[in-house]
Amino acid sequence: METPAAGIGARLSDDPAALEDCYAALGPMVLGYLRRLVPRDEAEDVLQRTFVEVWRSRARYDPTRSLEAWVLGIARKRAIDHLRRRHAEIVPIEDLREVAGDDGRALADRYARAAQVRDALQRLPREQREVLALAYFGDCTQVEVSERLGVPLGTVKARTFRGLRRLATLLDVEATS
Amino acid sequence: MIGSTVPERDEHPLDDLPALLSGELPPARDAQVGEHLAGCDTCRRELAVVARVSSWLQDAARLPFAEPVELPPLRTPRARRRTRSRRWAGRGRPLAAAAAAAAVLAGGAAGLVALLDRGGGEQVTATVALRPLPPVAASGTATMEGHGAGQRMVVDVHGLPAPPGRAFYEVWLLDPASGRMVAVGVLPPDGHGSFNVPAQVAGGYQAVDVSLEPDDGNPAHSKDSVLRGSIS
Repeated sequence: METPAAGIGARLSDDPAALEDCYAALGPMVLGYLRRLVPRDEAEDVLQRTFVEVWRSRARYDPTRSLEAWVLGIARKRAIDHLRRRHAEIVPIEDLREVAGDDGRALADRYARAAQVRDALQRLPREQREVLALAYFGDCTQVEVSERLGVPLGTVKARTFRGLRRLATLLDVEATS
Repeated sequence: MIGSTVPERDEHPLDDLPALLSGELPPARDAQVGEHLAGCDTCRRELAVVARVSSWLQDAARLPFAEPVELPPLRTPRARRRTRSRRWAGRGRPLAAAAAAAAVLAGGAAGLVALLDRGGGEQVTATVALRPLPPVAASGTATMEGHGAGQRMVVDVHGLPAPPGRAFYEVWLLDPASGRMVAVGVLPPDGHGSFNVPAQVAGGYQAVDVSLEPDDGNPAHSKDSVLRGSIS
């Protein structure tokens, strides 16, 4: 899927402004991810280290691959470094194993996909985006969505199906099934 | 690969598939759709597509992303400094504006105008004056019409600048004390909107808010409020 992040990634190697665009586009996702791995009040420091390394390593980024996954991979390594430095004092070794092991990689994958899903949602027609946002981000039933928007239940059902189907196309679900 | 074209909706209960997954179909309809699925490869493929996307959406909603305003300034030595992204720069300022607005609301400066009755028929139960939040210079009203489940809120706003790019203005009900809010709907470009707001929903909120929203798919309030008024 061609995402806004992919456009930023293509400029990363030769446009210094792309780093700030990258930070603006992916920062909330990366900070949310890091808060799952390191203490909340330390996550911002790791976030800064992550983007310093994104800048220093930009020549190694392959624009044909997911920018989200690449940045999250760097964030995970910086989180591991951070926990290693302080684990002798207070961090249980199990925490470090979780971040460094398969669980940490799986969480990074989930965050990368969540960022792509949010991007794709943004590209839907407003009517479809509205019902999906209320249903999935607002925890509304279809009946509640119908009441909130003042449209018939049948319309909500149709917009929901069409929106999910359009998301499937944007996210290449068919190709990955 | 799952079928790339969507089958005819008249022949297949496609619109019911999301509700089937979430368990929202009435029992009789649930049984009908289940019976159809048992004999229809096409619908089973469609259900697989919908189920996968639905699970990804649930995960995207479950995983916390930081709020944009929580992001610290980027400290990268060789990055060219420039104005922060339009979205985040735009969301920093309104926090102060929102705090100021909350103070205004606490003082009761804006509020209920009157119980009116428009001669046209629909009974007006309340009109709320919407006050601009600096630097926006605009004005407006939110009028509650009707009763109970049939209550509507009619919003009229004048003087708002055209939203940049694909951004739009959105109307919210807000409880300033707890910070709870609910989206009422998108304000049309002409500044006039009519929204179904059942009285039992509106009763839980004390203020009407209009915000500038980027077209970013994020259903949360942007914290970029431009107008606000107290219901009580």
